[in-house]
Amino acid sequence: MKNKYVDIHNPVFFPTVILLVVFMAVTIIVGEPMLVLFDSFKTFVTEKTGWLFILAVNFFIVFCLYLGFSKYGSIRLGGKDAKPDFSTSSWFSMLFSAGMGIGLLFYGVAEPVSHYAKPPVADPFTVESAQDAMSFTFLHWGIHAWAIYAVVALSLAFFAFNRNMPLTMRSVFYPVLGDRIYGWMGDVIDVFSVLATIFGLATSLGIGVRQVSGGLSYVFGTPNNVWVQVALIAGITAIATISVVSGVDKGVKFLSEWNVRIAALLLLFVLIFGPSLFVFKSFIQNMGVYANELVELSTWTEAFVNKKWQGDWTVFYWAWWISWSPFVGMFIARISKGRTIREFIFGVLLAPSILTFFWMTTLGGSAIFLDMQDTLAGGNHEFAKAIISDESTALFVFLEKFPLRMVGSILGILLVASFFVTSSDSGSLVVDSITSGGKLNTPTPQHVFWATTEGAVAAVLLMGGGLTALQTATISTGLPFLFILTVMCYSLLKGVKKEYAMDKQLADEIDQKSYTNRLTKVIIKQIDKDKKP
Amino acid sequence: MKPLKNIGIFLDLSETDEFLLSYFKKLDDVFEFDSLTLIHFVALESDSADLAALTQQLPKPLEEVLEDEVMELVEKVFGGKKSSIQIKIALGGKLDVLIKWVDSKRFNLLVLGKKAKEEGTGVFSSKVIRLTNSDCLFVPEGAKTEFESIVLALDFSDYTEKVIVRGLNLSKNLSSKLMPLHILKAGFQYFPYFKNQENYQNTLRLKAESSFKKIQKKTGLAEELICVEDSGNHISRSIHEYAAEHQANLIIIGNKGNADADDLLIGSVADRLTSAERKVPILIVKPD
Repeated sequence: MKNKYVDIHNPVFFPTVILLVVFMAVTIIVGEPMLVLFDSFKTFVTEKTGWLFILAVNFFIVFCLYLGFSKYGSIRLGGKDAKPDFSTSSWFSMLFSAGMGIGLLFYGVAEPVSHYAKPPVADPFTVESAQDAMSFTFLHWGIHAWAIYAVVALSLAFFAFNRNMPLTMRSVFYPVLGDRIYGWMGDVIDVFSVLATIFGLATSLGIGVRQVSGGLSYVFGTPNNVWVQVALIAGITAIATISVVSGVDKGVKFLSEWNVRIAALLLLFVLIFGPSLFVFKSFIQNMGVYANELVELSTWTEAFVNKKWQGDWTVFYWAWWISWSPFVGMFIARISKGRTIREFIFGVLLAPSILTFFWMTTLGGSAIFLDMQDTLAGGNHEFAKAIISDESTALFVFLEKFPLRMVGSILGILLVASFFVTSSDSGSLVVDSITSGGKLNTPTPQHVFWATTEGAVAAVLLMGGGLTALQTATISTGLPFLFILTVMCYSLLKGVKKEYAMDKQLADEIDQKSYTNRLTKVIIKQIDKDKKP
Repeated sequence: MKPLKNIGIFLDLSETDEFLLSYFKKLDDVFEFDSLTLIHFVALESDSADLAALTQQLPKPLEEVLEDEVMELVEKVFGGKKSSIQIKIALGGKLDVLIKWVDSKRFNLLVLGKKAKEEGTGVFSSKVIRLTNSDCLFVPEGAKTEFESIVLALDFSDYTEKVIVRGLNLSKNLSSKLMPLHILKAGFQYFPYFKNQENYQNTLRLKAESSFKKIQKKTGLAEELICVEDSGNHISRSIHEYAAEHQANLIIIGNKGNADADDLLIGSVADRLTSAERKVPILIVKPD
């Protein structure tokens, strides 16, 4: 369907919208009992299929490393003559800002402190639990997350740039499904991608808005409840929409550039006024421990001790990253043309991970350090307990330890809000592109529609059960997408193998000697003919 | 399957060109193709110094000179210009660019020659066969210009149906006899299942025949399946021997078999057959 207002691919657009509407209607109409349902569904999925997530995500890393180290690593995205669009340093910083956004602000302080206070294995508030806290945080935000993105982004980039197919999920399955990707099978894949993106995004927006609301209430004493949060979603979505509709594309670009700068400023602020020496020392140590324990940590499945810890954390994260992957993957694909597969794999796996590690050490590590200092001075972990009492205010409780706390907190709130705007906007761009069959320039009303829908889904989820609902939505869309990703690996490998074989064919020399002789003969014949008359 | 309408023929300025065109003329007489594109690839990436000096003495661009040369041949073989014939001279020495162009033209068939003197497939032809998405007809110099019998090499992979349909299509127009051939693999068996070799071959035969019946129903092929036991060499060898023995004029085969890996652009049977065969033209059917 295409006219002035919409440009959509019907078989993808309508099923997605219908599923979303049904989901939202049921959540609102059923009300309270939905929370119980969400909770039991989440428990079911994480308990029964958690091991599958753990296994699959590790497999993605192995797969990425295989591609990176194998002969296929030399294949260049966009063909052998393609040149990168961005310098390596700006590529790195774009990668970093693509993947995490709101989550870094929400969990930066809250997660390490939470593992330190409620550790999965060690005793709480010990040196051991502090070290484990950093290792688990690194695990959740490190190369595993980026391996998921790398698989999706590499597949999208490869089929879009080396095979000239549209930049949408179904293209990736061409080697497996052939022309069937243009039929219902491709539609199903695209519908799943859109649903995963929307729920992943709704989770981000949901926790973002909880943090803004928590921050406002912490700093200004405004009420912090679902209705304020819904109002905030409406408000911020409206601002995002207006900025897009009025054609201020530059506004969004401006915001996303400043996001990174303000985040860097916040980091620098904490680094300077916080325990700087500790941060540098523990950054090195945490990296070492992470590298050393990587295999053990990432294959740990709570097999012998079941505290149901993993379902809330590791499995949730894996599902969250997986449901984000079409969104982030598409972005990474677009900025990675001209890179070789080897550059791509190691760039995507390592650069943003290391930056994230530094962020986590500076915020969460410092928080743990400050709590330990307090305890040495006679406290009883009041600081850590205050932080984990509400994840949405964790950052602000933490910033209270610093000078200019009002400024710090307001900066934090603004940062989350502007991350919200950019996520919502770029998210709707991706959803828009998939539901229109891979187009990049779609009419504005359609863009507004998706931005509003994302806000609505986030609001409905918050009303229907808060964070549990958000997490359930993420995990349950992450699960089917897990299988799609696994097939994607196979498909990518098939494509890459063929590409390599073709490159090799083209690289081998053709016997030119006898051909040159024949060509010379023709030329001489012509010259002679020319001379005769 | 699309009818044969749009044909590309690769020429390389050697004596093989004339043979190739006269071979093809016979097909053209029957099919009356809509469009015939004669493709010549100037395989030099950078001109050698001698050649560059010579090119400068030319009264017109090299491209036109080569076009005239090809046209001269066309007049000789076809007797006068044919409106359906176009000529493409690919300069620049970039094979990938040429292949992209070829694939974008969606030829129903590409025709390539093979010199009698040359060992193997000929480097250029073998590259084109591997890289293009179009079906390729590979004609050894000295092949008879007859189409009385056609061997269909069947392995019951995804290609088999296409091979049969192409065969039926040709036989309808050329009234050739079709020989659907399946080679029964020599028994590789795994310990501890030492089956009786004869039983084993029989199982394979029955399986092949039942697959064949299904395809017969689908395609309307009337001929019976011919099963030949593999001599223990390579399957391509058995096909070659059968074709030689029965004086086949054409072998049609799928690009790849079931067992061929992703990083092979052409299956091992088709590959060996094209490089070993010196008498019988081979038509390689590609995926859609």
